[in-house]
Amino acid sequence: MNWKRTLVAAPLSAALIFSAAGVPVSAEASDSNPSVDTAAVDLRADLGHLLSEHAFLAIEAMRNGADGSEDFQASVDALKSNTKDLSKAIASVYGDEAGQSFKDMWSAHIGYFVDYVNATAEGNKEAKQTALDNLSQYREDFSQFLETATDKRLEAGSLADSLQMHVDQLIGAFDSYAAEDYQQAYKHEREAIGHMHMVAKGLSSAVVDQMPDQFNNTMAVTPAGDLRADLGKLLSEHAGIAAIAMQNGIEGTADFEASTKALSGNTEDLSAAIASVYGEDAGKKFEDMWSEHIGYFVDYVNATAEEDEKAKQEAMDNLKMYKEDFSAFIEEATGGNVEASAMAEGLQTHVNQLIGAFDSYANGSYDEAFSQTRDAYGHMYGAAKLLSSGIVAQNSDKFASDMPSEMPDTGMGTMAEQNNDMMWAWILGAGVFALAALAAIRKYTTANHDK
Amino acid sequence: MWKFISILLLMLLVSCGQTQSTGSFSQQDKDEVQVQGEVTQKTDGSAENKNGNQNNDQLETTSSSVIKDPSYGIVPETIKIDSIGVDSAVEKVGLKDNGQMGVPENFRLTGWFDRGSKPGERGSAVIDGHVDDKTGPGVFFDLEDMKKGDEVEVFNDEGDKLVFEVVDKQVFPMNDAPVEDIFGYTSRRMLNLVTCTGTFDHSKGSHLDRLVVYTELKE
Repeated sequence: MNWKRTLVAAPLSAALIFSAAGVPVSAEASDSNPSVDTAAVDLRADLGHLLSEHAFLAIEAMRNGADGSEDFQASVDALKSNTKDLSKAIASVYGDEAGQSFKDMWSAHIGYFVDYVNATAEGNKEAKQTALDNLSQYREDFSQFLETATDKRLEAGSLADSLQMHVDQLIGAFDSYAAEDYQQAYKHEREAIGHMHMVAKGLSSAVVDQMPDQFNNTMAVTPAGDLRADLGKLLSEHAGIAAIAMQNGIEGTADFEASTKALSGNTEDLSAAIASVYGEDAGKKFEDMWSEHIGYFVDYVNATAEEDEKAKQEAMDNLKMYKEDFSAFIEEATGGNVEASAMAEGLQTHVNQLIGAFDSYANGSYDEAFSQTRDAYGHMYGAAKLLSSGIVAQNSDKFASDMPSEMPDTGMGTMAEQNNDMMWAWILGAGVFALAALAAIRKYTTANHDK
Repeated sequence: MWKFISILLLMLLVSCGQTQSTGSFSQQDKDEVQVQGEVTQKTDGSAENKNGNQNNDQLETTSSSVIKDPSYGIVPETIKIDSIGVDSAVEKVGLKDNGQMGVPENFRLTGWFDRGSKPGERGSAVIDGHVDDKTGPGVFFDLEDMKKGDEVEVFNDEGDKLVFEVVDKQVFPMNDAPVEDIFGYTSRRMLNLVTCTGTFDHSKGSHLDRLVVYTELKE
């Protein structure tokens, strides 16, 4: 089986792959040439995409479950298709049998969350506790699965601990939502999404470590890989939370404001990431432009609520104009390493996906709404690759590998092996010195004596 | 007269021994070590309950504080290993031009690879030290005697302490060590101690093997 092709082709449908054909893609990383485009970094990006999307969709589904909202089933189905993609990714690395047992285990843990949501809705304390007990067992199950798959007990243990934290985070997000503490609920959600990228970092490292040949001896965690992962995390989170905020906006839900605040928090983090490479001024400019495009989306939602076709068109026109400005900004910042045309094409896809998801939601086509939301989420991983690839090419020094190529030189002499010889040398040397000293003293005393 | 010679000899040997013992140099050569503000911030999962659910008093569903992966990373200032009598200052070392991890000039000091993970962070932090120099044993002379379960203590300049535990010990040929493994990322919070071992090759001016003691944070 060609694991690499399966891994890329199966979980990431064509729609998810960034559509820009002219992505500057360099060959595998060499020591002198840091790259975001290696087999190991690809694995990390794929796992980060699917694991974090799981957290995002699971929280969404739990919220819908708590509210008994009409799109509940559609959100659960989206979560299930994420599980399918994730299992395929696992199968592409560890084989079909492992993929299946992963799927069974993963689906079971989703089932316990559903139990928790239902028990909360029914006010059934006992059932809630049973769900929590089942979820705490999940760490053991996952640890066992990873131990079998990776042959590394200790690594499996620490990864399973991370996944147990994921469980706690989802429960936390849901509880805060149920307690109507919406800001806290979205804080939990952002943390839960970010946490899954850490799991992906550890899992991809363990996989690559286990089968280095299959990843062309590349590493999942490098400065360039970190940039790609960071941008993928923040851009996809932007798409996901924007889609939800737009839904909240048209419904006028109580958590609307909290969702827009979460979106602003994401914008701040993205701007900080840009500033870390290009400086504060560029970061500020990025933040202004990025916030501007969010504003046009808000205009579109408001126009839809007011059924004002003209205002809707105006918002779309503004987004189109913004697309050109923003792409030019990125091309300039990256010194032409990211072409404006490629950036613009990617942005247009992003706009189409979010507007498409929103329109479908407003029409009551919930399946379509979630399918487009998933596309919008996944699309951002292509955008992250495009952007990070340009940034790394432009700043190759800054993203050079920080690993030593050789072990340190931590010994100069011959103590370790030739201890006895050394001892004799000392004694001999010391003896000679002592004799010399004695001679000197004698001479000195003789001289004194002579006075 | 022979008595006199042997007393002199003894005195000389004793003074040699003193300079060669692995003493505490923690106050010496202290680099300006800065802590980047992420020392031991344990998140507790205690409920804040900012906004309790008054409508469903049966449910006890409350909003809790955000659950974060705890961050323990510190910039190491001192390393203490009681089992082999090490108490040494930690310098920052980087990469040499030839791609080797750097090592402190002073063979009684240890060096932390500051381009990698901090001790306590997820990943592999690495501290190296000389096994010897031309005149005698270095700070990690007895590293090979460490056993599974032995503890390693690391302190930052504010005295915050992290305790690591030996989980493995390996010897690799100098030119065939799994550098990615020793320095690379892992979801575990590792601190790997490195020194030289094996025959000293005069033609290469180096010991032929490298000893790695793998330790993991005790949480």
